Amino acid sequence: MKATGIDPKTLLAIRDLELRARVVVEGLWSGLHRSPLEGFSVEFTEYRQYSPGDDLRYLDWRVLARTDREYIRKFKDETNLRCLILLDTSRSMSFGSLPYNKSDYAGTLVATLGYFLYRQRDVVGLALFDNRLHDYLPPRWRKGQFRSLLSKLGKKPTGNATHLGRALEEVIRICRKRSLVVIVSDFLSDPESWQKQLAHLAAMRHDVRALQILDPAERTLDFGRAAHWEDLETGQRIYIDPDAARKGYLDEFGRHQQSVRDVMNGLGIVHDVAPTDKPLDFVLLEMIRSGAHAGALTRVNGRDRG
Amino acid sequence: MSFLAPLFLLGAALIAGPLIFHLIRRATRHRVRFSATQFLRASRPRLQKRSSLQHPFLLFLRCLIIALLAFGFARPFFKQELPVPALEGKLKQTVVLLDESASMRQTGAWERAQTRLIELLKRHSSDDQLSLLAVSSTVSHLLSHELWEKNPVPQRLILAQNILRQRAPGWGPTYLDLGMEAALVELDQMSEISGRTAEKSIIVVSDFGGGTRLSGLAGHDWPVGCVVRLESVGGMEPGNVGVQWLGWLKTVNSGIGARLQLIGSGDDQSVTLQAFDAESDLPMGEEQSLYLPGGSKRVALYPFAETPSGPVKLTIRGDPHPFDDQFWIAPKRVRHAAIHYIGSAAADDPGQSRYYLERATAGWEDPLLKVKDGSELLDSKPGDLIFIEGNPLPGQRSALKAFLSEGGMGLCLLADSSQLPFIQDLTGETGWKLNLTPRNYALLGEIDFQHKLFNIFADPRYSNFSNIRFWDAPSIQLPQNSRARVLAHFDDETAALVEVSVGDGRLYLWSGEWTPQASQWVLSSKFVPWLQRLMEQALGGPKRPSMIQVGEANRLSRGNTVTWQRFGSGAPEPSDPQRPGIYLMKAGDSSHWVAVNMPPQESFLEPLSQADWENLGAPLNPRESLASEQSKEEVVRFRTAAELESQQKVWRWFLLIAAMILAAESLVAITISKREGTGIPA
Repeated sequence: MKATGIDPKTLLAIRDLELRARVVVEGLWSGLHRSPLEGFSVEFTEYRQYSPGDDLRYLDWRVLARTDREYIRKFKDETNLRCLILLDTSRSMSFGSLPYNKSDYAGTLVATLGYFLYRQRDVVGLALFDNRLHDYLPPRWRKGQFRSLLSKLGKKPTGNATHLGRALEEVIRICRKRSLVVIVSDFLSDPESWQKQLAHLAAMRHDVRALQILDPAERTLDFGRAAHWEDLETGQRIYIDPDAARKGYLDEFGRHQQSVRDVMNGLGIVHDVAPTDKPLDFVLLEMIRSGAHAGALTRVNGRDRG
Repeated sequence: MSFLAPLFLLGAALIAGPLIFHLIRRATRHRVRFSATQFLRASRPRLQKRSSLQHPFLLFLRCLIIALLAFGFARPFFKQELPVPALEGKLKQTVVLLDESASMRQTGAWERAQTRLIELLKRHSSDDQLSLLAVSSTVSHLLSHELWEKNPVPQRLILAQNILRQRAPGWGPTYLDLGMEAALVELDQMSEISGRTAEKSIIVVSDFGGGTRLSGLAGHDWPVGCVVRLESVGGMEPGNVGVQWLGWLKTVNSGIGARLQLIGSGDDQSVTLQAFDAESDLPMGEEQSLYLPGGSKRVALYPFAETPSGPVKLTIRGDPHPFDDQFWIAPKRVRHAAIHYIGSAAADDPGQSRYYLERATAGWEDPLLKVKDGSELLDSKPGDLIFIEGNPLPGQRSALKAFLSEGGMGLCLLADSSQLPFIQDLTGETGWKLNLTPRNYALLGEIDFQHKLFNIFADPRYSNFSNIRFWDAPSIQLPQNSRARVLAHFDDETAALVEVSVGDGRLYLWSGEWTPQASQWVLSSKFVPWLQRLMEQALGGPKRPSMIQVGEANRLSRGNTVTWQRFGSGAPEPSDPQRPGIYLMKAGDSSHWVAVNMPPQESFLEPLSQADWENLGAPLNPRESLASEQSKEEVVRFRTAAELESQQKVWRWFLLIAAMILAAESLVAITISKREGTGIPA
């Protein structure tokens, strides 16, 4: 499988979120067909003669029209994957040193992932949170589910502070079935505030993935000028000279990232960092790879369908 | 180099702005929103050292732009000689009216007037025309506009100063209306001579005391464009008390006193009056203290122990202004005269003329009259009147003729034809007739109101004689070619009163008797004034007053040669008295003391209000202070500078260079920002 590496700046210049997702997924999809990682999607295996009682949905009408014989298409169903994506919509996600911000990037990424799963006929749901879970689309596979997902993603982030722990508590309450839970957030809050809830979620045998969205400026502080800096969530202002503050910042940020990684590793949760200047198909591909490696995004049960 | 608007140079101080911005390494006015400030530690704003100013070249350009803009807006120009422009571009014609009345003698007023006048003269440019007039009871030229123009500009002020140095306020009244009329005439003359449109102004330098006369300005037609400017130099200390003479008055204890009106102005005043003998300077009465509320008048009687036989000096003490503290009083003068009655009537018979004659003349103060019997005709003296009723005796006729021939005056009531020979004898004319034809009644028709006997009735208010009826009045027929003159006609055009010259004297012939049965004449309101007028004519005219004001002396002369000799001086005055004092007036053979005082209204120092002028329609210019005059000079200077600046337009070069440097600065700033990648450098 080979990704095309679409420049996020170009991609996010497309206003239609669905189109963005299609552009990424279609490119990725063609790559997947040539990929040795078969089995990630629904696979056609063989035809067999129709016998009464078979589900007519799987009758190959084209063959019937051509040969006047009834054949049933047989699939090796790898789906039944139930995925819930948790997207952080707090104010901190509205930061961006690029022409787009983290929220735009994360939204596109979620749409892309949703579309990818939708095309695989997987069940996908969406939960938006800031300091609590404020929008929830239950995981389903039905017509219009993807549109509903896009509609939820179209909302601008309005929350203030991030409280991932509280959001996870609500997810624990409402998501009882074993699912793939993808948390898309910047994870800038203190890990101690959500470590316990995340552990609880993982203990429920959910397959939890953490996708940390970071702006390049957050990683390097190569940004801004000597001025009063205002925190996006708290509104607190402090005078910062970035040249002077950079070293201390990188130290603190590095310590924070290390603690996040430690928590994730301790809980066995796949933790991917997605800088917003990284092509989305790469991010998605890495997720798939890590998922395949972990077996989560492959067929969870090999029941044939049809 | 000078600047038209130098205040804009302060704008150069804005250079401090770029300096500070370049000293601060990062601008603090921007706000940066960030998502992970919890990992940041607050920094301290850092100032660069002088030696490490950020982008010094850029700073230099920016400072240069600000400096050039400040210089440009300050509108610089190079000084050059330009002709002094006239303020309004018009010729200025000015008449300065200097008050020289007595009130200008109040403390400090004259000095202030001179100072103000010099200041005014200094502010006139070389093109302006100016005339200086002095006004009191008359107007005199101090500096004509011809003389002003004839002298070179630097000499004009010196000339004016020399003239002013020789002047001093007089003792006369303030007739500013007279002065304003003269000033307007002067302006007209200036306009005629120059033939140019001019800005006309009259500047009045005066104390504008309350006694100033302006009544002559009522209804005055002011020329278009003429303005009047009032320069007040009085009013520093308006408190004052002046004296006006009211006359002599007999006191309750049969003494005599001087009745005076005290005129106060300003605050309340307590003054003392005391009379002194003008010759010996010894007191002639007690010192009298009087209290006068501010701005009020009151009448006071200053009693004398005995009637003063000589001149008196009255002093007023206690008020701040000494110029009117002396008041001169001439001794009381009484004229005595007699009416010699020739006739047979009794004085107490109401049916006779003498009865009314004596009652009409009783109580006169001037002259003190005595009606005498005609038998004393030999005692007659000039100034007496011979009153003839009926036929005089032969002895009386000759005396009467002699009296009249020597300039005496007689009045004869013609009621009977038997009197005609006597008249013919006196006048030397034959042909006098008396028509005794009875008629219903006669009225006075044509009267010669130009004659001295009737001119007091000339005013239409008093000229109505038509309600006096004459029932028993014969018609007098004059001889042909008679020298006699008819002064009054009856309505049937016959003579009612005739004047006949007899030698140097005059004889008046009245038609009919002065009884109520003959006519309503003796009962009419015209009778007593006419009779008094007759006696005044007999005495040579009205009584010459012994108390006059400065400037009134000429009305005492009555065309006669009059000489004045100041009390205590051996030589006569060269002209009429021009200052207060006691004078001996000699007119022919007679002479008497006359007290000359300053007009009492000059003591009233409370100034006129501007409304008094406005009510008279005077085109007042707001009173301009010295500061405003100076501001006018500033205006002239400013206009000169503006003219130079508009010619040179140096500011355009400054702005052009500033614009070029601005473009260069933008290029430099963009280059730096591109190089550093941090936006436009602060």
